[in-house]
Amino acid sequence: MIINLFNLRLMRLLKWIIISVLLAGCNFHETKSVKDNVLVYCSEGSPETFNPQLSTSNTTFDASSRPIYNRLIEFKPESTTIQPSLATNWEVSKDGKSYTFNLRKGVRFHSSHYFQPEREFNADDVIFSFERQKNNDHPFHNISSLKFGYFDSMGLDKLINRIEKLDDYTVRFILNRAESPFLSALAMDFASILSAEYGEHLLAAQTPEFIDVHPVGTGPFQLDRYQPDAFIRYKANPDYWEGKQLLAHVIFAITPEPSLRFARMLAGDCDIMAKPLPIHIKAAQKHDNIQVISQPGLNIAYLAMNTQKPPFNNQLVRVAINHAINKNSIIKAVYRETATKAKSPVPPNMWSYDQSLIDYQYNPELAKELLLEAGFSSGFKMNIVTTNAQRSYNPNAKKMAELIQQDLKKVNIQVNITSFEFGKFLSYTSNGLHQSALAGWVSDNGDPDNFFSTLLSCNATHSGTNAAFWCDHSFSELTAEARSKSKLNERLIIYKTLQKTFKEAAPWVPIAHATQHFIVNSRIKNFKIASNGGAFFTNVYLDNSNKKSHNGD
Amino acid sequence: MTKIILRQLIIMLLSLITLTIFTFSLTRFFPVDSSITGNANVDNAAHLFFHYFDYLKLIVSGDWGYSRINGSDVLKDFLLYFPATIELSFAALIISISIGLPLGVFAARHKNMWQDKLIVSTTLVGYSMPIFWWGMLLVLLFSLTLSLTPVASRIGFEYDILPVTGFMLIDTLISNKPYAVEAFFDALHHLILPAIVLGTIPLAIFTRVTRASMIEALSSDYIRTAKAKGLATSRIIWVHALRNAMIPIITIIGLQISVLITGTLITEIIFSWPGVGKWLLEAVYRRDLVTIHGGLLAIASTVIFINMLIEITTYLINPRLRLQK
Repeated sequence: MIINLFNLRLMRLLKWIIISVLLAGCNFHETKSVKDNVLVYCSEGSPETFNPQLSTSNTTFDASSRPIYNRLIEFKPESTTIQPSLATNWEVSKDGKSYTFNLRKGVRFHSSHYFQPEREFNADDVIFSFERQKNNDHPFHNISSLKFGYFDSMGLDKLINRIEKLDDYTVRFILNRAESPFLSALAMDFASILSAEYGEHLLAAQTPEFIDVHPVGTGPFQLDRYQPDAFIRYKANPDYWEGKQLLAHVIFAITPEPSLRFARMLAGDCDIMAKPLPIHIKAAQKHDNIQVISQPGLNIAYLAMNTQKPPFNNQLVRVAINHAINKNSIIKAVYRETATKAKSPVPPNMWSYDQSLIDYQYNPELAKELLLEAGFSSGFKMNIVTTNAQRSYNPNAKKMAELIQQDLKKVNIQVNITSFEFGKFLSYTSNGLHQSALAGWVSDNGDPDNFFSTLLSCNATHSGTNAAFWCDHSFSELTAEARSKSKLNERLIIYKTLQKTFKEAAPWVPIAHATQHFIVNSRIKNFKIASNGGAFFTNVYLDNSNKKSHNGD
Repeated sequence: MTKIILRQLIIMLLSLITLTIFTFSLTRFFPVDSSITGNANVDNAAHLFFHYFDYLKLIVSGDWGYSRINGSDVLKDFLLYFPATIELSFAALIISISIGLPLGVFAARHKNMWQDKLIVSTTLVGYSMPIFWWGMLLVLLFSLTLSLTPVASRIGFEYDILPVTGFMLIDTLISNKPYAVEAFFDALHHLILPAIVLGTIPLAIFTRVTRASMIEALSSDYIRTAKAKGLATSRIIWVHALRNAMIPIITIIGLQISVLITGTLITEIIFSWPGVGKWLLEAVYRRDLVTIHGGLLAIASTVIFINMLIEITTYLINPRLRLQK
């Protein structure tokens, strides 16, 4: 009896514990009203700053330029096509040296507890944003310890002669020379437009450094609260010029550990997960309330054959190698299907890509015949240089080299692999010491010139970025011509010719364009990946109609 | 009484001085911040002594230097993150006491029967459990497989709760948001699993100590007298036996509090709990020596302070100690 009584008490206690746990659980599931217009994004790290001018990192751009700011012109999501944003239209002079932008009227900067704008966006803000980066004497030029990474490395300080304000809503960029990729440079994150009025306000308050910490932009969302290493909270900008967003809040849950990010995704704590590992992509396919959104990146991984060294000075040999490498198995084993097969130097989502380009098919027999024709009936020995660092275009270059080694063995070519640390790899290949190398490239300004001139022109053999040391003078002249042309379709015709020439000469074996991934809850609609792989929350909305209860209670 | 408190205060002061001498010498070995240590290169012992006093003055006045990474005030940062750690430790303490004590009593009642053996062996397992492994296992089971609990952090990201006291359970209730109550339950829901993980080892210890102490108490003569008097068994157990058995239990509970505060560091990292542990780990990753120095000083002084309180409490509740002198 005593025991029973005691057991009863114990059972009652246990029952209470269970009930209170369940009660807390129930309450959690009834929070639908709060979650219904809030998007939680599990991001991979804290941003360095909230000013995109000062960064080259996509993590920072995700948190600053895309939600908070606008640029004069912007890339359409998922592509590198340019669309109007703060500039409604623009004109390029005949000589290609002057760009005139007509600015949008009625755009308001964010109003918050730290700053209330008194005027609308105008030409002064454009000039302020660029002068800060260009002009060494600008009061905001030196206030941060961070550098203007893109502006400086792209040489815009030398390219831009001056920026003129024609009237409040017209602004003109005068360049020192004609350069058509300049337009896509203006769509990059570092070209975000900050408020000149806010700048003056901060100077008057003697706190200029706040401009990078407490951002004021024109974008769809404005910064609400930030706790480093924990979260960033944004709220919809009520005065957004395209109309207020459907999402009331976007919250970045900063989760550097990939497996915790995935766990949060599975538990429903976050709606979108950045940078999943290949195993997460596989695992995500087993759950029906989450999906993987992928987009080919603006990158290329390729085998560069040094055309100035035998036997690769022979075009037939280069074509033979192209036929001998099985790209499908590389994409399976190295990328685990998270890449697309490459045939051109530019990725398919870049506007100059030639869809009709015919790739060399995997055909070892044909390769052997070509080698025979080239006079290598008994094969030869070659060396491939790789790096042991993981790159965004190539997760495992060494493994890729080993697969190529196997493939080439079938056509009697003996491959020797040398693997270097990344810095050493770059200096080794840029000095042309290699016979062949597994190289790669990532573009971020979305201009094909970034591939053709930088990787394949004669000039690039001097600077070392032309890893194949392939110098075709007519090809180089055409790239320069394309650069100076301002009409898109004229450039397009040239780039298509260039791709055909490239394919015939075969200085590379283009291997893969690595894909960028996000894991997304199925309630998220209209989520798009920015062209350079970043997350993009403009015009995203939530569909809570078929939302599942976590445990069905 | 006052004598005892005074003695404890002196002991605490001595420990604190030893601690600051230690941290001061660390700042000599590693470049922390010239604002804390003074920048003269000192060989002379007397100079060193004065520098130590300057250092002590800064520490006491609350100037603990500024983080090298984000320039924030280290003491302010500590005070920002510390409530999260306290909240978690306190929840773990409540869970371990409220389960451990009755379980220990239950085991003592069934001494050497299968229930007792089951509890004793389970607590042995619980006691020797590596926390990080146990935490991950529970997350896998309760959060990922059964979807009963959230995976990490203090509250759902959708709730915007301003830190006023730093204690999430209080902040949610005093916030003027329409979802204050909802947020409170969400915070509670987030607290359960980390608290269980953190409370596991203390729970095992409390169960074992309670059991041993109760067995001793139940076998004493006055319990037999009480039984003979015909008192209700529940009264005998919960009033007469347990009260006497409590003295060693409370001592152990006191000791466990400082273990809990330091033990949260691992739990915080597993559950991405924004407390002192996570703050310190980030500082270590970033080689932020000023923050590491401040964190070390703050945690160690907290433990010293809590130990003093425990000593005094034990003294107050234990009549034998109280009457000794």
